[in-house]
Amino acid sequence: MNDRSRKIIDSSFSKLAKISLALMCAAVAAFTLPIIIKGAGAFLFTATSEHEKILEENFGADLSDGQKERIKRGEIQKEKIFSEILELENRKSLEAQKIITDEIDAAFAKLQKQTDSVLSAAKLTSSKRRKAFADISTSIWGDFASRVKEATQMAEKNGAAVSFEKFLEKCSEDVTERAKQYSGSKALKAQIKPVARAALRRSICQLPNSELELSRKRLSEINAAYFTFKSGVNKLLGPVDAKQKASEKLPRNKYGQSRMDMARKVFEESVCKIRVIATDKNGHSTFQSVQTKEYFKGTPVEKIFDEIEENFDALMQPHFVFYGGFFTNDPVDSNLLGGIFPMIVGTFYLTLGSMLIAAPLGIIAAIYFSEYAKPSKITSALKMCVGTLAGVPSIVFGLFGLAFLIDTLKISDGKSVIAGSATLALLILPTIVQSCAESLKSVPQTYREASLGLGAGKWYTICTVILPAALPSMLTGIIISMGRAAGETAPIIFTAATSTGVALGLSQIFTNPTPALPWNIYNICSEHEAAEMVEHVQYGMVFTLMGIVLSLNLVAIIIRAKLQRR
Amino acid sequence: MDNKTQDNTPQSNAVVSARDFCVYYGTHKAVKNINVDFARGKVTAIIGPSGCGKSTFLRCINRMNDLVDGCTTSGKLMLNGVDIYHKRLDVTELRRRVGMVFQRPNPFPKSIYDNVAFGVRLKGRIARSDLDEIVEKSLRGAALWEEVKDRLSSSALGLSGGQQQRLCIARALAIRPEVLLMDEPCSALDPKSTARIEDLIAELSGKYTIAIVTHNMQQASRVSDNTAFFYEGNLIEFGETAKIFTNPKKQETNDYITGRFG
Repeated sequence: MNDRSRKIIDSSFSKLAKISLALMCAAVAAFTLPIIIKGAGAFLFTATSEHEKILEENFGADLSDGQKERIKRGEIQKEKIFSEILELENRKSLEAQKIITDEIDAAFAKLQKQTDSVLSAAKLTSSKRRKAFADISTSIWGDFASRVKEATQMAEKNGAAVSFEKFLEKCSEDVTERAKQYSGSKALKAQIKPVARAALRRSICQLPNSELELSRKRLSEINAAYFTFKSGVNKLLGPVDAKQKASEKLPRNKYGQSRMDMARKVFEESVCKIRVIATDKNGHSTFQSVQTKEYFKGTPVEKIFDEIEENFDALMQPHFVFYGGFFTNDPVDSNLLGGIFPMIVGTFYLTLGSMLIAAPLGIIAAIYFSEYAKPSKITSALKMCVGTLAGVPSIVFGLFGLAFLIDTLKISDGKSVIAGSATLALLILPTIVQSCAESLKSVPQTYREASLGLGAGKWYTICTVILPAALPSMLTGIIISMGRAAGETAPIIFTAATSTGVALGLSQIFTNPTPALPWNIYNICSEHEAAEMVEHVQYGMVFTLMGIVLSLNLVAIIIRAKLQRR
Repeated sequence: MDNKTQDNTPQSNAVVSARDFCVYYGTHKAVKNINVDFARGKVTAIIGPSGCGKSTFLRCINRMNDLVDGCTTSGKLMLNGVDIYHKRLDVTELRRRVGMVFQRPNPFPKSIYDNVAFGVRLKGRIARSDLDEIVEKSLRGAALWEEVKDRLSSSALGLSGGQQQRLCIARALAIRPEVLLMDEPCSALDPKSTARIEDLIAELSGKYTIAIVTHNMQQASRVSDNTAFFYEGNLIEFGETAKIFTNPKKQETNDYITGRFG
């Protein structure tokens, strides 16, 4: 190969290496930056006044006067909205009601006057009789249909749709009752057969009731839409009054949104837009998403919506907070409120527990391999076993932990921290053995010679010369394994993890399962009932887990640097 | 030296005596039927071309070759008349009496003080003041005290190569060995450091019995009282250094010291 082509190969290789390094850095940045930024959002965010309220009521936080003042300011604004909502639900449109009651009264008055024609019609044969009754009904009800529509529109406009729906229901019962009374009155009873009376009753009720039903249906659609809107407002601002708050079972329903980003999301998705029932061409009912403002155009609901939109900041009272409680508070209501303390504690228990089991065993095995074992078939077989064990998929370790440690050895009744720790210990043991043996091997032979040459025994040499010299790289290997144990999910699914729970005390680690970050990250991302509402917690957990693993690695680097300087 | 004329009992002033001593690596005989006596308080240089078995022989004197797999011996090697390879011999005790300085300086990654104190502490607990005294004495003995007295607690790895080698000598001296084995102690050092070590060996001669393996014939002639010439596992010639270098009896010795081979 000539000089030129050698140079070309050298330079192109160095360029290639630089490009691949740059790509790797970019990939790492693309991977970690969102986690860091969004993860920090779990504890550094713009909060609403609900945030402090939640802290006070769930975690006994002492609020400063300023915070109390802020909550109060928000409450005053919310109170306005809430009172409007309550007023709206109880508002009665008396005018509209009167139109209908008047109509019904007038119809029955007309009916009374037509008793003669009723009597004569009753004597006809059944088919003719039915027609005659229908004619009477038409004549007495007149333009009832258009009146009902008019009244319904009026009520709708006045925002009395909720109460008017109830009123229409009552009207319908009323009409039936009055028709029954009329057909059962003494005058008719004596002269008309029961079959004909029943036919008469049906005829009288049919027309008004179907009209009333039609309007009621229309109103119930509107009201359903309204209640969807209201529940969106509840989600955003919290329950309308103490009574509702007390009746809510889920803590998530007892408060409005505590984060501004979530508040905006809820506002846009559940308040600005609502899902209503619509009937398609084929007559099937389907859900449809509509703009609140358009749907309720010209009604008081639109006014409430406008008020919320205009006073959004006054309602939410946005302020920037550092929520340290994210790391120290227990979660409330499936992580929708509160922090991730039990998961952090669980991760620490599992990691430290696995370390306490695996590190001594691993170091002893490594010392045996590097200092005592003579090259033989058994030694190389043992080494091969350790190597193979290092390659076993972690899910298999998890199953092994369940089948052997829990079901066969019965080290605990079910999942427990100790079972999880032992499983994780088995998982990282081969790595520890290999890295420690490697570290011990890398201690220069001259140290051994020097120590033995001074009359030291083998054990003394190992303890005073070889182990101290190998310690930095051994610790590095062990701590990196620790990071792996902290992040492993599969082994603890079977042996230790539970999706909810509080932080365990030391005495419970032999009996109780624990939440732990890796498992809960999976759980909260894919099994959570309201995963989109806990996105910040998802990122926060990932951030915390990465923080734990990276700080373990950092500790390894620091220890290494310190010990090497000595 | 003729094996048959050699007296089979050690000379009265001999510290290390070999009688028909052989070393094998597996089946390969690396050192063949050596008969030699290292006199008390004298510096004995072992010279010879690479692979002649001189280091192997030296390392047998404190049984460092035990660390080598498949290394066996036959014949007798005695320290003060006691068989070094006796079954019931306490190897650690032997090594305490026969100190060793290696080819490359190999201080422990500990402080200068701890390096020197290492061997002393092996014997058991010792008062700090006594230990201080031994450390100072040993460092003075290795002509290193003046250079390191202000930084005894700093790492030994921060010393220069020559200083490290003198520290290793001080470390060996601290346990007061009878014999000091030096396996090419200057081969990894620059000429200035080499000169200091040679001065030190001159100072130590008389107090310790020293055996030094060297490739450097000038060094052998400068520092040693007696010289043993090894060639292909055999001890070709042993005698006073002056005689060996001026008037060797054997042709091989003459060829080697005049630089014909090796």
